[in-house]
Amino acid sequence: MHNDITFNILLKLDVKSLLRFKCICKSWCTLIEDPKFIKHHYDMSQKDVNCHKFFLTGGEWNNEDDYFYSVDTPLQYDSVASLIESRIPRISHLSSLSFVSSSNNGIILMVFPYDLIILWNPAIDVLWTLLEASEINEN
Amino acid sequence: MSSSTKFLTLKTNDKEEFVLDEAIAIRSQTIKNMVEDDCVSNVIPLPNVDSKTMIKVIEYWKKHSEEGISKDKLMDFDKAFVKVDQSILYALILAANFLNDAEMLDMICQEVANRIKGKTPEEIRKEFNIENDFTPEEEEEIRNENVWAFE
Repeated sequence: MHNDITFNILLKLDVKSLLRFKCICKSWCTLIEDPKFIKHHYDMSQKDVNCHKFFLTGGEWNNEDDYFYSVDTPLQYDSVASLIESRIPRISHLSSLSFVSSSNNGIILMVFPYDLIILWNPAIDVLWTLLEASEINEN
Repeated sequence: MSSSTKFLTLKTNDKEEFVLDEAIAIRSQTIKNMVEDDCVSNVIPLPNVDSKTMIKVIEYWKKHSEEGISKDKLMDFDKAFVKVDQSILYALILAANFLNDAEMLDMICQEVANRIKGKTPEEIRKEFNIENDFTPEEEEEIRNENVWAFE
């Protein structure tokens, strides 16, 4: 299949499928990792409300019943909220979050009390730890 | 320029001829360019398209050129249009690509994407006849980067 046709088909896939299809062959992997492709895919998803998600967080500090959910948009009467399990090391309760902010590029900034700032890209489920208390104290 | 309807004759690679209203045929950017550049003689050869595929393409063009047709009707038409065997779908992709009809190409690529969405890498390789050129170690490494995508 022509490269530009493959490009066009892959553009219409969800992120999870794309990550899975990276191991199909070298040319697909190169295409999927290409910043131009990523930008194009991102721009398209941004226009398509069906690709968007709401993130819900709540509960109380040290409360076992706290939650962090994602819900697909557009919201409908039968929308399902799926629980997001914390992959953040040492944080057992995401609701201890003191601040959440989403940027216009799909990255979510999370600040945990006193010691942790994390950037999270929910689409590819990648976390970056920006700052930890020990580092601040050392400086 | 005359205002009367102009017709073009399209000739597929299996030597079938299709006479088509120029206004409809120029949904193909490739044909449009030829018409505008004045390189259209009597017959436009389409070396990359067979007649079976061309019949489908013309069906699509005619429906999408109907005056006053509602968006819903077109959506229903498109849905039924792509309900074909894999081989026909791929032939349509190549035809839409050659004829340079972005709208049609987009629609069919979306259908292919819908069909492959939930599949495994092995299934995709088989379906598109793709050779895995990774070493087992390289493949393992990529799989380990995003284990959750395989769940």
